[in-house]
Amino acid sequence: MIRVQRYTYPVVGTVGFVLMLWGIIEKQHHYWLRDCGAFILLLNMGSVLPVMRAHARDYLPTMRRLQRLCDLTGVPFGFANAMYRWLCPFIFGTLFLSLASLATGMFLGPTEKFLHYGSYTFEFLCIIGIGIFLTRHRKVESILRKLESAAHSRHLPSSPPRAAKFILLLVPKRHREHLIGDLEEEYTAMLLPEYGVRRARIWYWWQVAISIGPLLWVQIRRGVAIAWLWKRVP
Amino acid sequence: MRIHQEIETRAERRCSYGALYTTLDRLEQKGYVSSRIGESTPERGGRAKKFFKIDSAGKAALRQSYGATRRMAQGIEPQWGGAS
Repeated sequence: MIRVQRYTYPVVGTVGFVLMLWGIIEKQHHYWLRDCGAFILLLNMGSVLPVMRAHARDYLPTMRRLQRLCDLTGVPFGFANAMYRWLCPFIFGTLFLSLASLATGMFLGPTEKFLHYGSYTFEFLCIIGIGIFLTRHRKVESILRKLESAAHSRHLPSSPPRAAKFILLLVPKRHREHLIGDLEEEYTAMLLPEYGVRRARIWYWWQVAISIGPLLWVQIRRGVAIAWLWKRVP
Repeated sequence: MRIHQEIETRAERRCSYGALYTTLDRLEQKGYVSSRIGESTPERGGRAKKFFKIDSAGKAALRQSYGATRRMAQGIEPQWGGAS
């Protein structure tokens, strides 16, 4: 599926672009060709949007992880500028404006040059926006990988707080290993990369505090019951 | 970890690991679920994972409980409709 998408978008886009260019060169005689080319190009860009959305979904968590890693490693976080915040609305906006002006232009006929050329301008801006988005995303991913390896080599405090782990020794033996394993897995795999050491440690302490109660309560109840029975034994 | 995540996602409420293990332990004692020890992984600090599986008695109990809840809800819904 990914391979099909990889080849379909550029091929269909090129066909649309060639038709549009041909229509522009031929001028008034082939205005319908020009508009059809522009329409194909717009549809192609519309079909790129779900792919872009999938990228955007994991873009923000990636950026947060990146910011955290930049803080830890001392690397400047300059390239994560506000442009991205405006990029998605810009792409959707230009796509919508292009489609609207093209449809209106096709409806009114070839004489409305303003609408036709406006549509092409918006289309061009939209292509640039999509290009920036995709290249920026790849760049962020590669930088993130480099920083993660750098952070790893600096031996970041990736293990949970020792005192909290010591308190977990109070947990009954049959649950202890699995409980500590679960907490450590969530701490290392999810909390630490996403929220950093401080927040992850707070989370770990909080989990220990709320987890130990129910497990100890069972033991206390059992102890009280045994003591009560012991007193009743003649 | 997966059961914990599922509960938090589906029920939209916090659930502590302690409460979860206590409940699963109780269900296991009643014979509703069975557990097995899995392999240890480096993310877990070399500790083993525990997998739980629902048994036939557990399925029957769940079906009965779900049926009771559904029948109760059927009685409640018209009351809500009347009240609003």
